Amino acid sequence: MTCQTIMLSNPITILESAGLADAIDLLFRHRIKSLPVVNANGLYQGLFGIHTLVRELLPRAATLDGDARIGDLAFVHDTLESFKERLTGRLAEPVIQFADTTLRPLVPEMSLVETLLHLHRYHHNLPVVDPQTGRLLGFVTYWSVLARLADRTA
Amino acid sequence: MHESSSHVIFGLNPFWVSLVLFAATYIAIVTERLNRAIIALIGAVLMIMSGVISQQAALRNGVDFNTLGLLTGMMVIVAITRKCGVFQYVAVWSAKKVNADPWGILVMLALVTAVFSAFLDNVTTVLLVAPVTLLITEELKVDPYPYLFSEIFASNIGGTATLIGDPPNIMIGSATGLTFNDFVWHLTPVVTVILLATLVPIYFLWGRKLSATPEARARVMRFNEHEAITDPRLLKQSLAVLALVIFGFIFAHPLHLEPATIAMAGAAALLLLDNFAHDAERQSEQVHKTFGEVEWVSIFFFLGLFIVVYGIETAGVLLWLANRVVELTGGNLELTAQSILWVSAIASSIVDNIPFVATMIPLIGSMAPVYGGLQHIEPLWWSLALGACLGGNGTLIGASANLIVAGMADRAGYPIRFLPFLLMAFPLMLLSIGISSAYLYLRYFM
Repeated sequence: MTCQTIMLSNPITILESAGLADAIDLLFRHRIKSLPVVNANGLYQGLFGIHTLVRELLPRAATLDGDARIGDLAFVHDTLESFKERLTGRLAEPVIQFADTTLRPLVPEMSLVETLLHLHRYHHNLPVVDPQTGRLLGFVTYWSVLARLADRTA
Repeated sequence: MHESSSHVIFGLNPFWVSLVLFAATYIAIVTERLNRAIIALIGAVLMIMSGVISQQAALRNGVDFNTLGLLTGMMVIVAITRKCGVFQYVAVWSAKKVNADPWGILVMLALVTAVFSAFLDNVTTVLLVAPVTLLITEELKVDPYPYLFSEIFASNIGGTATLIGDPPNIMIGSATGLTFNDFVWHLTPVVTVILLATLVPIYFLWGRKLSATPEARARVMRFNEHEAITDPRLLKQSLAVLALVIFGFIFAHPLHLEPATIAMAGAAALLLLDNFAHDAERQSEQVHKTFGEVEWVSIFFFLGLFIVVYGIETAGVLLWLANRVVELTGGNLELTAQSILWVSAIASSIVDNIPFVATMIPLIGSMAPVYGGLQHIEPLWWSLALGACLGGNGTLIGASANLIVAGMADRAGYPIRFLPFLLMAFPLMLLSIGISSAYLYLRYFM
């Protein structure tokens, strides 16, 4: 069994040129955590999701990692308005600017155990991409795995 | 001078063998194609394997374990102290003290950076202050560039003020026996003047144009610095140990203690306080993590470099060079001091100041007989310290702290470019060296 057998073959995607507002709307409408971002030819470009959106809501300094990690932010008292303010004016920007382009997609031949290991390690739904063409083939989600385990449709 | 010549590989002249190895090591460090610790260790091993020096002599006389111990001890102390949030506390407190006024915050954060840098490693200081700066400037909706620029300058200037502020000073102090108090007495006054003088052009360049809306300032004023303290018990313990360590540095001479012993005692005490309440497994985990935060790359870089420099010292290269310098300056101590200051500053703004200072220390030491002994060349050590530490401000690659801030700013979406930084920083660095030059003349030669 490979990754191909548990992936969703026709995932909801978004074009890289679509606005951030459209991407958020898709997440809400379909109650999904993440969306593969593709170009006009269906080639995979990155992953946008709740996790990338939350990063945008935080002060930039808070998203620094490694040695520069700021640590505890208990002393900052931002309001809901402050968070909204951070997104205002950016809603029309292309979604690709907010997508995670560093995440390595899965390949269809990847073994099942390795696929699950990736899900476990990265806590993401993961895109499956043809390594030769870069075309998006499917999407492995927690639900698609559970569905296969329970013999149900995701 | 050529005591080891009979052991040198193929009977070659140790003078030339050591010089070639030294030059190759230097070139490799400057080109930055390989990690500097790897280069220094290879240089050191080749210096021993070629027979220029023996392993025994290299470890006994070449490696300055006082410098290594002081650096490692302070790194352990900082690794534990930073966990309690005290640095965020001070940064937020200082911003609120000036009612979140943008220029006031810039001045306060520069001062905080300078004071921290005087007692801690510069890189550690900017790693602690710069993220909070980015947070505050984002809330104020002001450009973080002037703040980060000032902090780079403040960290290198502040680090110049004390024996433990910057590695060049640690090396100079260790090699010469100059004490913590000597550094405070001779360098802190001029460093204070330089810091204040640097803020003047920064005000005219950026400061007077900085402004923030009342709402933005109110957001910063809502920060609660007390909530930045994540572990009040560790805070008290860390501050107590840090105070004792600084007390130890001040009274090191009458106590007959070397700085490395004091720093290591502080590190051991804080490790004990941080761990004794935990079970063995947790202790092991915490101690492992703390030691993991020691910059071993720097420690091994120093180790290798000390051996490489000892190689050229033993082979007589540095004595030969020292004689040429004395000839050039006509044996005039003031001219030598001023030359060391300016050459060190220019060199340190382009290349790493650590290998430069490691080479200059024995070179300056070799000049002592010409000037009537070690007691007469003290101004030369202050020239070297001022030039090497302040020179780091000249370019973005002049000091590790500069690169750390630039990298962090880049990741946060506020890139600091090499050329724009150079255009502002180099003249400001020259200003600081000009002040140092006047200080040397007024204090030691007038």
